[in-house]
Amino acid sequence: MTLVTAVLAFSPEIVLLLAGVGVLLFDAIWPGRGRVERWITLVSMGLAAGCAFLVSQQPALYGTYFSGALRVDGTMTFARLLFMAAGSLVVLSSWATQGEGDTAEYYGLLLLSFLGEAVIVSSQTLLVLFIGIELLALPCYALMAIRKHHAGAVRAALKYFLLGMFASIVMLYGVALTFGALHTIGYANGLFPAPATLGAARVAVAMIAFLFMFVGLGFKVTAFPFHFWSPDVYATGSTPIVAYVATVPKVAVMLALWRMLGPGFGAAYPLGQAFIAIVAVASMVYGNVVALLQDDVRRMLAYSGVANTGYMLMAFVAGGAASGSALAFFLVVYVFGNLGAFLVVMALGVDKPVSMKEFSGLGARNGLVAAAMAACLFSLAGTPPLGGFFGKFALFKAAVDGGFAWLALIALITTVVSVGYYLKIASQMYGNIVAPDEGDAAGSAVPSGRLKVAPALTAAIAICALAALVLGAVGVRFLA
Amino acid sequence: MKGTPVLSLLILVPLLSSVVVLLLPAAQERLIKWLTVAAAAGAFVWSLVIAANFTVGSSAMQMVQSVPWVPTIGMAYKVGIDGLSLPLILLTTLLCLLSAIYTLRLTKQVKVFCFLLLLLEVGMIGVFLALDAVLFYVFWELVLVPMFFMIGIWGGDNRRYASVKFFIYTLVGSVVMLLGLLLLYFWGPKTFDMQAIIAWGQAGKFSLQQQYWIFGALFLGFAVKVPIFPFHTWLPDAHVEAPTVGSVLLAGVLLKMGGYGLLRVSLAALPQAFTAFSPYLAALGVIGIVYGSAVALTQRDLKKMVAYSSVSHMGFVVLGIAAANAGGIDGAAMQMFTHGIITGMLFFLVGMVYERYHTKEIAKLRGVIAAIPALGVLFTFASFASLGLPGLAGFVGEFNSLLGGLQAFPLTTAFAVIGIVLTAAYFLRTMQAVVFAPAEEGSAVYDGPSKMAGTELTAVVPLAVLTLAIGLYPAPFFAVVDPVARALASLVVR
Repeated sequence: MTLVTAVLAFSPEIVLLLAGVGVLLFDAIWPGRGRVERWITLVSMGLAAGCAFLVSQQPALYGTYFSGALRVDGTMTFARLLFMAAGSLVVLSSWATQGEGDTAEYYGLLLLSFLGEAVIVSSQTLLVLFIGIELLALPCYALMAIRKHHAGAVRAALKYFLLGMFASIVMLYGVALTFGALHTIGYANGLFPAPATLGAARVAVAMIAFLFMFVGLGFKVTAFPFHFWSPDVYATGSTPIVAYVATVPKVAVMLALWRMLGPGFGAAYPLGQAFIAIVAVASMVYGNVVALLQDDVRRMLAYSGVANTGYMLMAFVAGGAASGSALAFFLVVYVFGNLGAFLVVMALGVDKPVSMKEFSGLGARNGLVAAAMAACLFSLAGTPPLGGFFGKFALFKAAVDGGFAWLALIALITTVVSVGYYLKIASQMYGNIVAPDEGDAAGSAVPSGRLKVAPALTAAIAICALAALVLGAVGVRFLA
Repeated sequence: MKGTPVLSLLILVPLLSSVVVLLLPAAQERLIKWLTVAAAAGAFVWSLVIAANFTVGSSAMQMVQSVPWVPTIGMAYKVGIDGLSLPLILLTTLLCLLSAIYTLRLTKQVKVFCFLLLLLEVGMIGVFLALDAVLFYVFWELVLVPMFFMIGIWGGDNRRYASVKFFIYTLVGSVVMLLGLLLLYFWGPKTFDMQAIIAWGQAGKFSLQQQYWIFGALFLGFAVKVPIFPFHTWLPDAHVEAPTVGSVLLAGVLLKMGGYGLLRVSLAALPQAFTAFSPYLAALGVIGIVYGSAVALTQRDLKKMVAYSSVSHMGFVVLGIAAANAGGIDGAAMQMFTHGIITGMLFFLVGMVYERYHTKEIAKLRGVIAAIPALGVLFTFASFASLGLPGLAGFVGEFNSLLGGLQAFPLTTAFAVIGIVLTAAYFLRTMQAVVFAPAEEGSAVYDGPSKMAGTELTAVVPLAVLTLAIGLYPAPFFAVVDPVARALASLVVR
């Protein structure tokens, strides 16, 4: 490995770093030119995606770098492209709203947060992973607070920060224990070796270490019972940031967890497997049932996120290569479905809570946005032929094939439950075209009139919905 | 890719037309309406071409086309046609064409309606052609959405309640049905290919326990759609509120999806569970026959009466299917087809009566034949066909279903006779009052032209002709269905 190959292999991240710093510097020199900063951000993301593609075309660049601390491989390319796609959608969505003096910070921090995600996915040792998580979390804390004139944003940021730090510390403790148990923190070939090579005592410590790390990472991916910050943060934060935080970082951490545990962890460590299974079931059941009870749509999406984490964790329980590709496909579907849903919420109000009622008659008030929301929701619900169906189906199949039919059955039943709350929004959007609530008391917040949505935001929403459709029709072919 | 795209074209014509309709400006109402008619006519003509090329006398799937969709999990775009689905396809394209012609009279939100009509046609054709369980489910759900909007936007005063009730009932049914389809996959050959699943089931590779579970899940989805008593309560509400075209297609085609599913999936893939459950199914069918006709007798609303007559007539379908002998299945298939054309005709006629008198109350409708002779004659004809007068199509299906039922479950079937008497009673009573009785004090008044419009006649007369033709000479129909019916009947060993 020479410096040149390293620079080439990490060219996407270098582009993002330069762009992030560049946006901040640009604003320092020529303040108040949000338009230019937006374009710099968008173009640099496109450039980074292009670099990622070029890297993937050069097999020589795949490998480990920096004494085996970071790895560039297919997973990395997958993550880079997915993150850039999601990132550009976030940029597009905030095209109209970020013009209030904090534009440069907003885009700068967004760009820098991608470095954290890249490190998380790329890292091969626990300490680098920890650094990656912090590198991601710090810009996200700041982003959460960036609309500082809005009290909710500050509250959300503080909660996000405190609990995020707490989670990091728990994880770090697990890292320390891991080193004690395994005498290594590298996970180039999976973190946990075959139990037979460790001996009973070290296996016990390793399991305790695993629990600590899993709890720490569980916070980041909002797995029950470590999810409790997410409904509050999602419901009070600024929606574009919430949309971002709810999707991309979760995907990054999931991918890192997969690298760490790998396809064989469950079979080798039944105790760890049981623990993940319990968390998965609890997340699916709790997330879906509680989401049913929500009126605030962002809160509902937070709980739906908990449930989706549960589905993702099924891959870790089942293990095997098929689980890995199922997980990857599900993550893509989840990103676009969830992002799309959040962006539609944003179309109804950036900083304010959006209740179910505000979706009333959306089908008539803005047909395109309503149809896109329906597509995203039904993809999340797992309705064929949308992408979500195939994502869930692949996970269920992996679970059944791995001998966890009962887990798939629970997932299936909770999926049926989830249809309830996705349908609640759909029925608000379309039920009221059917017959507007004429008898509603005066002053009730039933909106009427055409809903105007900024073109860039509309485009971002439409792309998410289109992705849900295309992933169903064509994307499933990549499901190996 | 395997096979020819003959059948796919039938799906593509309305699908592409619906996209074109969506892209046209809403102000171009004439163009949109005529485009819809042209698309529906194209689909109908193409279905006739398919029928002409169909090999009669074979129970095999024909014109099969298969395109891999997700090969790793055994999912494909696969369509095919056999003697069971061919009549239903012809029924669908015919009723859609007539509905499109009737839609020429529509004035409210024409563009959306035409779009939904074509989309509905795509879904309905797809359900009857699909040979992949996921594809089947996709089309099954696709049907739900346009019908929901048709009832919801163009429906009567209580449309919101009716449309939401329709949606929830059928959605719950179909979600549970999806569970059944997934169980077929996981316990079965790990492919969604329905032919492979059916082969698996007929080889006895599903254990009896597995069959019961899958049968139960599928049954709920199909039973809601048929509807089988006691899952029928959404139907009268939906029909009363639905616009005329919605009612025609709901009764004419949508209800048949349930019966089709019972034969195509439940009976074919789960013969033992079907056999074990068939006495109860027959009982539910007979209850539907008697209950539907008894409730129809008490209705004051003309449309609701026809809706309950549907419950009763679909009871014959259920009875024939449950009998599961060649005669019963022949009868059920025939009854599905004839109920489609006769009840479709009745709903068209009720719609025409309503447009003129602005009421559907039987007590207020008098002397239709004096005011609009053609309408009166057609209404009389349709009523006689519906009550099962020999020589008209309705008789053939009912008679064969009953015959099949008597062979398999003589005691249960005997009770169905009550339903036949009641059916005659409510149709004769209604006909006497609405069509022939002289106007009384307080009855609705109509003083418009005494002729029917061209679009109205075009929508109804073909159905009347077909009713007479099948009634007099049903042999060609049975020649198409019988091989499949015999193959299915041979699976059931009592």
